[in-house]
Amino acid sequence: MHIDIVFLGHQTWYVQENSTSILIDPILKDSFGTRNAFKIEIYPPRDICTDHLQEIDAIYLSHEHTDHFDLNSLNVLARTAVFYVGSLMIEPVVESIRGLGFEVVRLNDFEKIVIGDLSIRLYPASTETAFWESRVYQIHIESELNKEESLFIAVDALLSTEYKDDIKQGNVSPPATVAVSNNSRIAPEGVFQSLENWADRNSRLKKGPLGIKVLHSILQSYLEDFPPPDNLLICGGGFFKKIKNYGIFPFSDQDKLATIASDLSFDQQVYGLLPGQQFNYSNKKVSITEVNWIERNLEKTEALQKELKEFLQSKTKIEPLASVMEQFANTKQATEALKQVQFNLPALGRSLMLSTPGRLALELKQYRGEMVNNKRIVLLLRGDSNINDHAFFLNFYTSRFEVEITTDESQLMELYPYGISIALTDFDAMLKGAVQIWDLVGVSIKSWFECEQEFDSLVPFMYSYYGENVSPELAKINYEHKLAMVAV
Amino acid sequence: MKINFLGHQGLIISSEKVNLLIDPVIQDSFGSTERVRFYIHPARDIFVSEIPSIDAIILTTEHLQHFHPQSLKLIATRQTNNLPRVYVAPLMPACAINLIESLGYIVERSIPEQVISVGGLRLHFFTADESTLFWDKRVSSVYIESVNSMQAIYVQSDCPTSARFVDMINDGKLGPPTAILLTNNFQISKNIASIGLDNLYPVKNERNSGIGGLHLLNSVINQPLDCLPFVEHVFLTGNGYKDSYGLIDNVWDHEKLARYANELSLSFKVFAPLPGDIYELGENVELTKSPWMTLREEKKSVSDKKTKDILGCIPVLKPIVKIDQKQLQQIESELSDLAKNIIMSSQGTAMIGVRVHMGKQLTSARFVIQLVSDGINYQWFLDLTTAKFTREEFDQRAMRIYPFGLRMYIQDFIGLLNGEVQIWELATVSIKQWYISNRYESPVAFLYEYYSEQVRPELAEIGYFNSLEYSVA
Repeated sequence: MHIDIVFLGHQTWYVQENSTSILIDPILKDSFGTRNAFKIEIYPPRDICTDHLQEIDAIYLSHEHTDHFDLNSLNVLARTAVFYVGSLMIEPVVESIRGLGFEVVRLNDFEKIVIGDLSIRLYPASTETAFWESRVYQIHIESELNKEESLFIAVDALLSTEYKDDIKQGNVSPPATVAVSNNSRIAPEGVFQSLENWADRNSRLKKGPLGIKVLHSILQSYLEDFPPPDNLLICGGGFFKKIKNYGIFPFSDQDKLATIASDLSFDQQVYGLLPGQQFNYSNKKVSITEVNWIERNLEKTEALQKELKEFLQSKTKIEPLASVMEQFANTKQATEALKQVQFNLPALGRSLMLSTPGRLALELKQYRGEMVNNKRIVLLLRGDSNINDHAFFLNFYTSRFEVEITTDESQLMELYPYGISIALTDFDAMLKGAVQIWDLVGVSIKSWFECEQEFDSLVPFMYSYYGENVSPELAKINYEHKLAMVAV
Repeated sequence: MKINFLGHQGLIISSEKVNLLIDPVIQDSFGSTERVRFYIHPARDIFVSEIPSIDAIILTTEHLQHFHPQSLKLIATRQTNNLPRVYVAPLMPACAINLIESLGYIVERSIPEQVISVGGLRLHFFTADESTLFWDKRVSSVYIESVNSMQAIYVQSDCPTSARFVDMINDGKLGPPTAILLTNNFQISKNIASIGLDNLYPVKNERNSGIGGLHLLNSVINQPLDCLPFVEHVFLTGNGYKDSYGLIDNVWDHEKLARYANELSLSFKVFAPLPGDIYELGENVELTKSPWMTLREEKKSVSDKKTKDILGCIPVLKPIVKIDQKQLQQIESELSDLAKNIIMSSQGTAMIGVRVHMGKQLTSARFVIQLVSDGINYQWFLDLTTAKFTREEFDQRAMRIYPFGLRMYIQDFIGLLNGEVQIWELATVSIKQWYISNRYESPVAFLYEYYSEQVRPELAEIGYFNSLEYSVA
């Protein structure tokens, strides 16, 4: 018998050996996300006939992010499958999966678990990984019938150090096939991106040989000091935000990238599977076939690719939305929301003082030719017809948020080296768990920063602070909303 | 120019009848409460009434070893008319300025690279560089030049030599300093007690191994002078206090460090000034003694008596006989804020990175806080999957279960939350911790940051005002 690996889109995999099958990070619908109007759609688009998945033995969830964990998708699966997660998976995820009626098992790091004819081992992400991806577990899957057949899914975080060590020490046989993720999600020129620096819009991020950089980073830098596997699979980046209307992310056609990479090598085979393709590697031979339970939507795929092409030629701009959430119903609601945010500012201020952007702001000597004083970080809360804009700055002498009378965004950018501009209605919804920070970035949040690295700026701080690891109570409310929507 | 050393890092720099008082602690001791005092060492008597008239006060940082409210009050009461102006570091927290102003002073926050003139002296403040530890990031160095004598003194204070300062010297924008005052605050704990960032796990403390004194000479003297090779006179300051329990050990005394540095140098001379020493800069440096200060014998520390302790902790504040519900609520509400910040801290990252502990697989509960008392002992563990502290039964063997832990007296933790005592004071004498990470990723390192003056200024301010009450002779 042989391991068959079926790609379902983005980072969802179905792995089968003999009569045993495991489903990994299942996104089975055509979209995911909290708000219906802002759903994130899977690319390339496909329909999955989930009847085929009712017999699976196990489901594995690598981490808690919404492009891996979707209660809507899980709801269509038979509760007979055992759910596996890593030891540091946040508790609200586990609770909500149990809420759907699954049995959830937390696995110890590195421990081999045999599931029928397959075995799995979880490896925690390298400790150098960005904070909000630091709970990712990478999975090694091996055939119990033939040790030569194995797959390692090395996605979304830096490659596990212990996995490299285990291979070196012979505790694990080197994987025949490794899946890596392309999370570059480069916005074309004219489109803002999640970590856009609004004070410096001529960002180098959208220029230059970007495709080479992407390939080099996922296939070379990422796999440095890793024994080259027989096959590399590129996945990830398999979604787009409909509201942005430019089709898909450039360099997210993994099949095309893979073909180029293979062409540039004498000995390395690289594949970018399309949803519905089944990858089989036995006796050193690759075969790629199609499964009949996944159907690609070719028409839509082509339309999206065309949309991107036209967008790139049109040189148009796509601006952020005023808000992801609806406007406030009335002034009373808006005022309440403002109060709620203000109530949260002291704690936010303390954490910001300790954060990377807080430290960098403290170290800053000059901004735009002027010596910096106590005004270094500002929060602009954009109002709507029910409430004015309000701004608060973190006073570096008192370490407290205080009222800033200027509420003009571009003036604030002149005054403050670090800032974030967010709709009050969105901030309010995030504090209530109605949306997640991930639903807001790249849609309605703007930020600017004086640091060199975008990962040291305020938006990544928000990923950490309002993300699932630090604010699991917000994630919990969010999941409860979603559970309530799912008809159990 | 003359430098009159007052003990620890306190100074009077004089030139042409202008006297600048810098970071003065002119009493015997400093500290937020009478229950834990830090005594200036070597001990000296200062006749306050005979201190010359002060023209300006300079504060390089808000830390208690430099910013001593009681001393400022004494100077203010002595000098009734024309209080000297107080010049503070550019990033001095407002909570410290509030206290100084309450004593009647006019405070001027210095601006980096702007010159302040006091008589014939010109002051330049330089804020700490990026490489400085978080809790010292607001420290400033001061460069003081005398217009007429063409001399200048660089007071480094508690941060590395400013790269901007070195650039300005190299570019000829400032004249090279005649003398530089360097800081050595390297301390270890006596009697293998663990203090500060030390670890209860029996791991090798790298700070105490190898040729530690050479390492210190390199960082304290060689690194700054490598950037300022033309400086001829070097003064070692710092390490000028002892705690009341006698736990602090300033292992490498300045006299010895200076002696070896001089043997190992061709171009500069290192001095190890004592309180009361006055050095006059010139072709030859001249040493005289201050007429209003005399060295005296030191008091015995309390540790010579038997100190009561539980599991290695010394109680600092007054014991609480019975913890009430309100106090428990205060602790638990604080812990819920702490949880998020610990998870985001470098300790949090280190905790996520731990794979095995004592040969066993870890659960997601990786940190424990133990609050002990003469009655009930309490314990809360932090679960990384819920970002919450949960109370559980106190366990003496917690070090075997949790890879990270913190232990202190419950009244001290409550005192910390009420601003009665600073984290630095507690960590120096009382808090115990264990961790499997480097010392800057440890629980106490996190507390140093979280309860620092710049994150919890409201607590620091309470402590400053309280400290005015304690003039311990």
